[in-house]
Amino acid sequence: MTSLIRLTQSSPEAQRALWHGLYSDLLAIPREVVEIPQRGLQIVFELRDRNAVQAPRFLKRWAGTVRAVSLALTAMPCLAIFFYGLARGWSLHPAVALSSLLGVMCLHSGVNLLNDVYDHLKLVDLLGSTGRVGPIQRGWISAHRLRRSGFGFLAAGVLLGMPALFTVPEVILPLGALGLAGLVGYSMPPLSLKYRGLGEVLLIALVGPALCAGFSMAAFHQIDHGVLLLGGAFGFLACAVVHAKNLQLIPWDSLRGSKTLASVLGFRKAKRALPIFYFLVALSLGVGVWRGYWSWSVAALPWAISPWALRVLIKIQDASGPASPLLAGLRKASSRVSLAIGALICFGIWFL
Amino acid sequence: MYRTLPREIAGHLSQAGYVLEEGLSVPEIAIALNKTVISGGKRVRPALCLLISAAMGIPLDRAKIYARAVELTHSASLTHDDVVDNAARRRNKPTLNDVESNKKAVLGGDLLLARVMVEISGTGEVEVIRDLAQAVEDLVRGEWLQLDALGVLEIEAHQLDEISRLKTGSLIRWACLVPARLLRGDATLVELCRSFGDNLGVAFQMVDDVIDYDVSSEKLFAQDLKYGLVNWVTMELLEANPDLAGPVAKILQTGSAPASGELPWSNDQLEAARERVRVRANAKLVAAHAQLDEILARTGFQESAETRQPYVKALRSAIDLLARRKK
Repeated sequence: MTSLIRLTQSSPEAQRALWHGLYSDLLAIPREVVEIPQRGLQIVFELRDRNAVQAPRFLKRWAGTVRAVSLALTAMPCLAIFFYGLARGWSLHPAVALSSLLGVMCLHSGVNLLNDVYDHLKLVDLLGSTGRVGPIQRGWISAHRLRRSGFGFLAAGVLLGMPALFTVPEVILPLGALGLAGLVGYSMPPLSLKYRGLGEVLLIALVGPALCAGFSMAAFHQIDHGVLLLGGAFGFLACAVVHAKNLQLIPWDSLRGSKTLASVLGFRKAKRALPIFYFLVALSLGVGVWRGYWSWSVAALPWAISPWALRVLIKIQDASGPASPLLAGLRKASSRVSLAIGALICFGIWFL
Repeated sequence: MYRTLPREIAGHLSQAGYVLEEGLSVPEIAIALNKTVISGGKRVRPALCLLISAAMGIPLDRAKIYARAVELTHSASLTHDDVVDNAARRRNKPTLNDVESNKKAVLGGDLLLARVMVEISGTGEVEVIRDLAQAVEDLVRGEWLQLDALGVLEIEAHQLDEISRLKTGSLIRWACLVPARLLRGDATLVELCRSFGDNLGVAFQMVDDVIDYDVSSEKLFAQDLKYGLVNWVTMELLEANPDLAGPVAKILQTGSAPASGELPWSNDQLEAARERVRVRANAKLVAAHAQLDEILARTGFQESAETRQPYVKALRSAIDLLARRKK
């Protein structure tokens, strides 16, 4: 059985419901918001018996919570550098490499969790944005617990990055500080760089050359231009995923005065810009072939998924606006395309 | 719904105040429209328009022209819908495109819109007329987006919300805006009424989708799915049961909904999805009630006032009935 209750956002009961997911002994999930002048934002909570919610098992629950697919997108550049360094005959420092990889994934997980917490507290999915139906909305985990876990992952990420910091501090310290500042400042106040037109640039730099350079130095104590080119390719792949998401958020971002590439270009130009990111990936790989860092097969292999990628791109071109159902599942589809391309790059570098 | 309405409103809705006069240069158009799309119907939108107007203190005689306008505009959109959907029946009667032709049905819908423009332009209420034009524009945008939705399996809640708001909500939103404009309300009151209409409109669509999956409903079962559309209930069904994606995708593509004994989902799964959507609709209506409290407060309503009390009571019943209706 469910029931509904309306609470003023600023009230202690509403805050408890938002943070701990509880009202009295019942599970409280926000379902609707309404602004009443002079009384403030009213939140309509759905109240459910806690025993009625069937959360999945621990591993599956947390895999969905930390977004395993997006973590793979972070791990992919590191794996590519790993295979690249080995192919170049560089000397591997396995313990540092492993702790760095795990550290990066923990940092990314922490950011994902904290993003979910702040999106939930800001009621983003109820105010018109495309917020995801995550573990909080499903009643699996409270915002309070998720925030603690998020900071826990961030702390673990910093700790796991320490071996790399101690071995090559002159490179890791500035890169790590930049990465951490970028991660924290990406969407969180007061910087909120992603809403000031710097999101895509930051993403390309952080997930691309900065991440790859940092991992290369940590794992091999070496770096060359091939690392930076691979970084560029992965940076553009990450940017394609974010741009695909921002396509749907154009009305929402425009209303709030947030500047993303999509909102600045407008829908028509923004959907045509998406293939350009994939072209830039191909260009980065092509330059790598030309400069002799890897064989032509590394640049050619990702084209194997072009029919699939083309289907996704054609669907986007047919969409009549940001709210078009043709963009449904776009974020997932573009993540999978990027993941597949990344996996093929790794495969090509190691085996071909 | 009529049983809960004040007598004068129920009486007005059941009269012939919604037919087209035949005294036009081509009377056949009016005759055809009166026999098909205009006759019958629950008159939900005019009922809401009259109830909200009366609850906010507008005399019924002043509001009736707008109630008629919203119903005729709705009829125009249904006429065009029937052409787009190639529908042969509506409200257990043949459609205009079935009786006459697609061309005449399109023209009939255009005529209804023109008639509405002629009638309400005579009131001189420019803001009201502009709002109606905006509502029609929104309705078209909603229908266009819905065409994009054909065959899309992974449709998301915010997309369904936008389609519902534009397609179904636009005219209900206008019906709620009218009294705010007639009262020369400030921007806050106008926005409250607009948002109130939005919530009613989306809730109305959600309940429609629940009814679409009701085997005891007078409408055909799972019509949306057969037409190639994932509605609110189907979305909840897929969200809770991802393994149904394959069978549902097949239904979307082939356009043939299986017989009730061969459905890919169990009764429990379907009922759980319908209940989820009812919760969503009820949450919208809780929000709408909160907005109504504020709207009434801003228009000087007091519980002790006898003149407006019956309309306020009837309006709240009508809002609750939106959630409980079975057809």
